[in-house]
Amino acid sequence: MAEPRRESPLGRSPAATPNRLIEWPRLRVEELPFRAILVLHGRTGVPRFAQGVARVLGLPPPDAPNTFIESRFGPEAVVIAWAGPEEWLVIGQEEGTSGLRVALRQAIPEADGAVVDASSGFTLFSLLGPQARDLIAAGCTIDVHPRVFGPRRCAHTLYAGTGVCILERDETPRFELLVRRSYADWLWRWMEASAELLAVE
Amino acid sequence: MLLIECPWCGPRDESEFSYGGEAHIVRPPDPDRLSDDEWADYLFMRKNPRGRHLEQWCHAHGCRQWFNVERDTVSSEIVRVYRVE
Repeated sequence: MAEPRRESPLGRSPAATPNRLIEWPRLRVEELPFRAILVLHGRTGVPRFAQGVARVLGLPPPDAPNTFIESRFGPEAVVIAWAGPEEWLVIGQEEGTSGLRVALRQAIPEADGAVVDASSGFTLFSLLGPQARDLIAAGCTIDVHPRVFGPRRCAHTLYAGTGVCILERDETPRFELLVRRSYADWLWRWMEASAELLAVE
Repeated sequence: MLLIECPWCGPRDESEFSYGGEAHIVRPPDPDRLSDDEWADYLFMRKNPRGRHLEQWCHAHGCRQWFNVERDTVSSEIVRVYRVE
């Protein structure tokens, strides 16, 4: 029997270049596959929930809509992104290997919140460079100008016709796009075509 | 295209939202005691005003929350946006 092996959501895409990288002088797009992605439900007003999360991740989930915080789970960098008034996405480094889900489940009493592992349902794209903001703006209706958007802002919205979570990680600018895995190929093709147009400009 | 002010996310494009029909329709506490006409009225009959209309919207591709909107059906001007209490 063949050994089971992991395959990224972009793995079988005929569209993606072998190294799965779009590289222009002012733009670099790549997939960051196999991240731990958890959906966290609860109310920050409930101390057992907020403190439980803070015990594991160092900080309680952010209350401000459309923002995310960066924290750590042991040595691992973790993002907690607002997804709704009682919902957050926790994005960790490596799916499966970290004890993130187990630690959160243990820290949050069952009646006060929920943790669902959605790692295999999504994949993450990184967009880096001066034209990253242009590529983001080309696909969605939200205003990503630095005076409105900015580091540690995030937004759940439609991008290139599919639902995504856009996170601005720093002012390079560096963005991350979280997308459902079945749309990885579509989004890659769309970004590749759009990046080519930007490069021509 | 409408620009709708989500009570949580702020102004977003109409394409992110789904429409949920007339707002503030309360399910009768005891349906068994209603006549067919009253039940049909609750199920099917909706206002269709020319002018101000209270309606439900969901920020389907954003924070996925339901909220209420007061909208003018002639001009599509959004007069008021408020949360479901």
